[in-house]
Amino acid sequence: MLFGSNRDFDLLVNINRELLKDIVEQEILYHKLSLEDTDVNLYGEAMQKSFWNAVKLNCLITRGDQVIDIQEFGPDLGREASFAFLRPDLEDVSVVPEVGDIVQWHNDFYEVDTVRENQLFLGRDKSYNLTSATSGFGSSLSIIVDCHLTRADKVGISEVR
Amino acid sequence: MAENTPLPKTQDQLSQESLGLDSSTVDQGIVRANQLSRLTDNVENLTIGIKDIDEAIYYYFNEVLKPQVSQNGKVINVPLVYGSPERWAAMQKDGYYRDKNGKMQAPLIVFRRDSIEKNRNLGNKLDGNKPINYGVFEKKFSNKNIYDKFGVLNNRKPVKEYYAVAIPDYVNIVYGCVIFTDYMEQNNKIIEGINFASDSYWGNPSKFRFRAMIDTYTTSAEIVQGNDRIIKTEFNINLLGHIVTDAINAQAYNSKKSYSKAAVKVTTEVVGNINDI
Repeated sequence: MLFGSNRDFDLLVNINRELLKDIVEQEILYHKLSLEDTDVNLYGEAMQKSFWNAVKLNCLITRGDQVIDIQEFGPDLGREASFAFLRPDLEDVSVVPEVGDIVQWHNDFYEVDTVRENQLFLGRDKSYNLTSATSGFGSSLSIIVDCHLTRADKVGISEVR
Repeated sequence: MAENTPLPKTQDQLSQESLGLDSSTVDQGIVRANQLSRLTDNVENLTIGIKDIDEAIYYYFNEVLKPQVSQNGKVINVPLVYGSPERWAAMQKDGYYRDKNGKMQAPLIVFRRDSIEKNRNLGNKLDGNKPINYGVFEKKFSNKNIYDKFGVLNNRKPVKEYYAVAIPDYVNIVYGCVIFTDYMEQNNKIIEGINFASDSYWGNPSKFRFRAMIDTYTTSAEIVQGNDRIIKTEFNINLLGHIVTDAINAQAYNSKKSYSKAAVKVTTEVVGNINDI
C-alpha cells in the first residue's frame, strides 16, 4: 500500500482542524445523556433527564431555514440543521454521537435524528481492514449529525419559562 | 389592611331570601363531623392510574407469557416495547433489540394504547363534582379499635376505621399490538401463546389484574424493495379496566375517612313549655 497511510490522514486532519478552529470557528456544545442517571419509564420516556457535562466542539453547520408550521395550538417554529464534526476531534473528547443526543447552538437545542459516518479517506476505514497488508491505511474522516430544533423545556438543560 | 372578602351567596340562599326566609340555615353541604384529618394515619390512598393498567399488560407479557422464539439454534426472548419511545431511549437505552449501528433486530413486539372508552354498563359514581356512590374499606386494625373491659363496662363498641373511595371510572381500553419476526414459524408460536392467554385476567397478581380479550390476528408477510422481509401480525387487546385517579379534583373523594359510632346515647330532657324548645 502506498497511499492513504496514517501520516497522510493526519495531514488531512490537521488541515481540517485548522480550518474549523481558526477560520470557520463555528462552535457548539454537545450534550450526551447520562443513561445511568436517567430513569426511563414504561413508555420509553424520562420525565427528568440527566446529561454529562457539555463538550465544546468545532464543526461545520448547515443551517436550515426557520419554518413556521400551523398546528392546532397555533404557529410552531421548526428548523433543521446538520453539524459536521471531524471524527478525530470526537475521539479526543470520547464523544460517540448517537440518535437522541442534544446539540446546543445559538442557545437553541437540536435533537439528533440521524448520525452519518460516510466520509472515508480513500474509501477505507482501517478499523475494518480484513488483511494485515491494509492495516493502518484509510480512516473515517467525519461524522455528520442531522438534527431538528427541539423544545428546550423538554430537554431541561436551561430554564426557558 | 386587607379585609376578608365575603363569600358569595349560593343559589339556595338567594332563593330563601327571595321568599323572605332566613338564608343562614341553608345546608351548604359541609358536615364538619366528616372532616377528619389524614395527617397522622399511614393508610395509602387507593389509586389505579392508566399507567398501572399499561404496566399490567407489560408485566403479563414479560413475566407470564414470556414469548420466545428459536433462531439460529438459540432461544431468544422476545422483547416488548411501548410504541414510539423517545429517540434517545429507543437508540441508546433500549439497545438490546438493536445492533451496534442501530438496526432493529427481530423478533419484537410493540404495543401502544389506542383508545379509552367509558364503560357505563357497570357502576357509576354519578357526579364528578360530588360523588354519590362509594366503595368503603375497613382498616383491619385501628388505634381507636381498642376493646377493653372499660369499654365493656361503659357499653362502648370498638370504633372501626373506614376509608371511602369513589366508585371507579370503568373503562374499555384498546391496545394495538404488532409482532415483528423474521420468520412465519416464529410468528405462529408467539400468536399461539398470546391466544391461549386471551380472555383471562392480565397483570401482576400483587397489584391489579384486568380482563384482556383478543379477537383477531392479522398476519402479513412484507417484502419491500431495499429492505428486509418481515412478518407482521397485528392484533388488538380489548381490556376491561377501571381508574381511581389521584388527580387534584378527585383527591377529596378518594381519601375520605370515617369512624363507626362507639355508642349511641339517648337522654331524656323535659321542658315545661313547648315554646321553650
